[in-house]
Amino acid sequence: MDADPGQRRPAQTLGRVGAAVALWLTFSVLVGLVPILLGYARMESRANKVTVADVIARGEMALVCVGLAAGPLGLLIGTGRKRVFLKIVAGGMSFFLAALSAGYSSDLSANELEKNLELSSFLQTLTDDRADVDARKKALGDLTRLMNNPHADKNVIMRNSLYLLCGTVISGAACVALSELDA
Amino acid sequence: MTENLVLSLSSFAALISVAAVIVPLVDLARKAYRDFRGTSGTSKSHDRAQSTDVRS
Repeated sequence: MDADPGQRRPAQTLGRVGAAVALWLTFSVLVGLVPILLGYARMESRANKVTVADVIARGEMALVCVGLAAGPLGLLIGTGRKRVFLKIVAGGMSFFLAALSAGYSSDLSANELEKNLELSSFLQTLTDDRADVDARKKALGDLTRLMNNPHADKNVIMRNSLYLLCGTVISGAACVALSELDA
Repeated sequence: MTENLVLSLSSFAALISVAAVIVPLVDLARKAYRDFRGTSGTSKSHDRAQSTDVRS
């Protein structure tokens, strides 16, 4: 079959799309998750009793999701004007997930920062020589309250982050496939 | 509550993205299949035509 050299055969295009998605999954998604896995491994190797939820609770996974959603969006913007409607839909969903992940990540990191500030304030009061007994008692009570009632449920954060990751990976793969179709 | 909301929004976005990409991919797969069938079909009919020529 004599094909036009400038035009690829459909099977070749399908192969290129599969290769691009596999490349993205390997070098963006897997490599993006490496810091979380290494963080967990390092904490565990220091004999700390940690779970994956403890590592994710600061919002790292949501932050990774922002990068994973924004990368394919950039690829999609750089392609031609074919299938504009489908590109707008897939890119819009990716943008939506990036915005959602960014909001969630910033909320989690602000929460963690707030908790750390409160902790340091209570510890400062407790270790201050000039602080009277009542102030110390109050700081100790606040510290106990903070420890017993954490600001956020780590398991919920982990599940939310995993939902965001799954959505981002699917949406990102769709964007990569669409951008490769018109490359 | 928040968990359900995040799950719903993520699933919605993922489904819509899949729906957006499935249309051109199915179209391409159909073209590839037709291309494959067309190539193999041509060779079969060509063989059949040759065998008829030999018989005649």
